[in-house]
Amino acid sequence: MNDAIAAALAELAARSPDEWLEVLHARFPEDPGLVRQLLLWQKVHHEQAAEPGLRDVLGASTRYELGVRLDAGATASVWRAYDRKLRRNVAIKVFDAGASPSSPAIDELLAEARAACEVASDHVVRVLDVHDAEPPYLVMELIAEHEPGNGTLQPGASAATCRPHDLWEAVRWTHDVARGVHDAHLRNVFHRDLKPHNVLITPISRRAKIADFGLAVSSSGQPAANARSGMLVEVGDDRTTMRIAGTPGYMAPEQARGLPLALDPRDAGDRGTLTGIDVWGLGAIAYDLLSGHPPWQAPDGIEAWEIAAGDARPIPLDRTPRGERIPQRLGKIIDRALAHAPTDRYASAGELADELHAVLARRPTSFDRSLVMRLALWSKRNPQLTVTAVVAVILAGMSLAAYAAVLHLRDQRAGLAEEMRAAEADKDRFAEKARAARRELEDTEASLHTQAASLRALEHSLTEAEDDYRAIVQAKEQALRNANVATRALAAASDDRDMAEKARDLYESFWTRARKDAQDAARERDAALRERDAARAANEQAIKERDEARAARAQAEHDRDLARTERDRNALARRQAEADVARLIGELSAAVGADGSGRPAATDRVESADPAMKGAVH
Amino acid sequence: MLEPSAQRPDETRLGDDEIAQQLERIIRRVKQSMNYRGSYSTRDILGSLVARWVHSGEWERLKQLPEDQRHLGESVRRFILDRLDQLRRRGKREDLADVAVTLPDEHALAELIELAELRAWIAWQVRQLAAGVVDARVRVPLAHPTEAGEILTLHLAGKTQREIAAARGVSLGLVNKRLSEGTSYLALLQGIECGLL
Repeated sequence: MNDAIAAALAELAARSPDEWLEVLHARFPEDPGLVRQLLLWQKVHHEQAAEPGLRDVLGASTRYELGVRLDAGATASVWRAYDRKLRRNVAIKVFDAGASPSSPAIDELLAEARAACEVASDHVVRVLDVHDAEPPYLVMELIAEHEPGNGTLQPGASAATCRPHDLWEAVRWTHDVARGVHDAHLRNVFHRDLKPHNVLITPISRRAKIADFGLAVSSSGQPAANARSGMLVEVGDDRTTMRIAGTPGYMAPEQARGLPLALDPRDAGDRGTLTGIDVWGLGAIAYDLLSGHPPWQAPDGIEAWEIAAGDARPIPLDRTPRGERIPQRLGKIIDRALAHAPTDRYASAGELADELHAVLARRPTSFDRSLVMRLALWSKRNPQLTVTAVVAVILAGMSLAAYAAVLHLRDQRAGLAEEMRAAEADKDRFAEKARAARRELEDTEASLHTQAASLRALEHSLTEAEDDYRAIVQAKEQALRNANVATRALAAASDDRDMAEKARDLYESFWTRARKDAQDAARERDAALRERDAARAANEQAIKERDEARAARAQAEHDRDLARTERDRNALARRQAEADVARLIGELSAAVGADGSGRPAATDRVESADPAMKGAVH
Repeated sequence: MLEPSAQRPDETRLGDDEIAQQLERIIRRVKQSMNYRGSYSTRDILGSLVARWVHSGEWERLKQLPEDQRHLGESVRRFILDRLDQLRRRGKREDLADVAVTLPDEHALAELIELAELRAWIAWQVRQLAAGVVDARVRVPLAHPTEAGEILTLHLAGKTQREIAAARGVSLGLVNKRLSEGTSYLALLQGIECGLL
């Protein structure tokens, strides 16, 4: 189905509007709803895209050949066209005849054309011709330039589309527009709808020109220009008609609150009002070009013109959207142009243009009153002169410094010569002193050498003495160690025998006394050593005595053993004797028994028989 | 928005010419509502105030009343006076004290209200289109609804065709084409809403 619809639309595009219904009925006989949709679609599309009626009308004029549409607005569209008669490119602003009744549109067209024609300025788009029949159109200078490379004609664009490259270009455009507005004011023409959209920029040289005097007020076109319907405001018994017109984002506060319909540029009061509105418009253009947005921005639920009608102020400018810092002096100029009260603004567009020119030319504005600022601006304006002056000042300073230095050097040289002479005298005196000192020094050195030799000898002696001392100390320590060893040996020896103990006690007491005396003198140590030797001799003697004692004891033991053996033999002999005695006694008893006298005879006989045996028996 | 019930034609009685006239009227009104309104005239200012009055809900309330009891002029006049009074209190317009505003007649006011409603309706439809939502009742296919919706949004925001082309990085011809398609779509949808299609 979509293909069939697309084919039908393609066929309609190729046919004239009179044939559309017939074509659609033939293609979709059973679907009148679709036929109506396609008919409406094609009609809107045809009017919107091709504008054939305008092409036909202008083509019939034989003078202007319509080219491409450059832009479209609420009530008119702008086309590029070719003027066959004068063989030049022009721009044609064609008013939408269907949108408004023809008569007011033509009146407004003529008013706009007359207002623009009254202004002769390089900064205003020139109106070349006007067509005051249906459709009404205005022929204007085409803002275009030839490409330097290939020679093709390139059309310009509005400042709203073609944004400034930098801050200074924005200022330059505003300055150009301010000059154009001032030129218009001099011819009693007031624009009243200044905004970036109405500023056209040439594509190559990038110069600004004002266009669209649709809301302009002029002395000649006054009745027509002010013929638009207005809001009626009744004040008391007098009936005064007020009118609000302009572009909401760029409206001056008093413009948003409504202005009387009849504003006469020749009247001083009305002229001031109209000038104030255009000065505000110039400030609004500068504000938009620098900030990227109009002074009045409408938040949700409120229209921009309503904000303008209040006592709000545009947000202060600080930086451009590219981040360039807006100079304070430029911000002050824009602030003054956008002052809430018209009396606080610049008195004329020319005054504002002069201020902007001063900014561009780095000259003092009305805000730059300080000498420092003026000097800084002069130096920026005349960099070569500034550099030259600075160099000259530096050179002069250096010359003065050099001259002063030379004078100072001369003084120094004279002083030095005097000092040198004094120094020469001092030198001889000091030389003599030096010689004497040298002699003294030599003597001193010789003395020092001698003393040094003595010192070295002393040092050597000391070293030797130290060595001796160390040897003595070592010997003493060794002796002490030996004494200790001997003490321990003595102590060990004294454990064996009583004699040795006595000797050790004697030695220990002697050694104790010797150790006490050893702190006083070494000789006592020798005595001790001698005593120790004596002790050793005594010890040896004691050992010898001990050995002798041991030998004596061994002898005694031997004797004892012999005695014991003798004793045992004696005991045996005694026991033998006793046995003999007993036997004898028995025999004696037996003998006694046999003779009758008996016992006393036997005893006497034993005692008389052997005295040794008698002792053994006892 | 045109009222479907009030303006729905009796197709048995309406001829092709009459329907064509109705369609012409719809096309003109849609195009007029969609036109780039750079410079405001007093009528535009009044239109914006009437749009706010419609948005306030007063019009919805009045629509419930019989036509002879609506008194559009009085309601709109009171609303506009309140608004101007607010502006006067914010600003320093002492000379507006005790002013009385004479508004256009009832017929002109009805037309302003109709335009305000139509503008609101168009804004809503354009938002739908930008979101890719196409009304199924429209049988003519739209090639790029989202792009058309986005370009129409910029157009309604007051951007010129050159500005739109520069902002989107497309050719002026493409912008014109999408605007044309979008306008055709809206006119068609408005005709459907009014019961003419």
